[in-house]
Amino acid sequence: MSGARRPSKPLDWYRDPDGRGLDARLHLLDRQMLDRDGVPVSTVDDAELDGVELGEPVDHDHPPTVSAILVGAAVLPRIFGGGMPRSRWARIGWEQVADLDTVIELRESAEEIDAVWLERWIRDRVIARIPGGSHDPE
Amino acid sequence: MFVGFPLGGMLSLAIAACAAVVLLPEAVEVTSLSQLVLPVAQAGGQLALAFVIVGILAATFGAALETTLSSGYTLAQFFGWSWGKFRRPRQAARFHLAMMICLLVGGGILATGVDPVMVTEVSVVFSAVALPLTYFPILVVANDPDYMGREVNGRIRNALAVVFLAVILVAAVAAIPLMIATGMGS
Repeated sequence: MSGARRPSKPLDWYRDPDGRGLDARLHLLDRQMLDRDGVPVSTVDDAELDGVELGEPVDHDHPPTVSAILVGAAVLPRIFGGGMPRSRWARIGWEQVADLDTVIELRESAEEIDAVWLERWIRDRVIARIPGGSHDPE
Repeated sequence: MFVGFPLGGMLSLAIAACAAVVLLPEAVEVTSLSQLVLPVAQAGGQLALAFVIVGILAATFGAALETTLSSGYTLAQFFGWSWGKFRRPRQAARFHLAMMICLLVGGGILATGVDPVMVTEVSVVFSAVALPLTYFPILVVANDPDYMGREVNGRIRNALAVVFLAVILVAAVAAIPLMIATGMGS
């Protein structure tokens, strides 16, 4: 089978001196995050941007940066509309991101990530109390 | 995969065809699983009955497992949870809880006394309607060199894929009108 057909015309917003341009909506949002042991953590629900104010023009000498990945019940506003209050989002600082590929690898263990509290809560309150809940599947 | 899917599809078609040719002219309608047991018991006695009961148990239990696991996989992968039966339940807590809830919801639907055959028919029709919605994203990913590397779709594979997409679209569009027109076999 022939290889990938690259786009013949480079997209305008894709122009990037290193050829490493990423589209935050395409390459960041909804991507799977893995912790440092390769355990799935969550998907990226939203991103926190620094250096840009709503309604103000973007300063191209100091472009905005992604400061954090946000995790929360993003599916609710997607279905019912509206927005989620900022306090309901869990934040994973961008400094925790080790690698950005088809999955996002984090430097922390899932045990230490605040955004995974629900997993730990269900594990400790429900699953661990079921006989065989800690059973190795072999 | 190359043996199982075509074999399963062929057997299902064969069963449907045989039922239409043999049973329909006699005005015999098989509407529940228990009707299947009677002719087997008449023809083969107790031993055949035991055999068919084991078969029914395997089929229903297998289908229940498959449905439960597939709802767990779908939810866990959509939300990016840790999932899989290769992990201890403790290590994939949300996944296992989601499966338990799905199992309870499934049991609850049956407990309302609704006709399970009707539920199956409706859900099969709606899965046909939803098929393009799952097929098309997979086709998009199959064209993404980031994910696929050297196995990314080329022109021939994409041409075949678009042909299948057309077939699936026709099935999806036709599903609900056909369901209404045929009155779901009643």
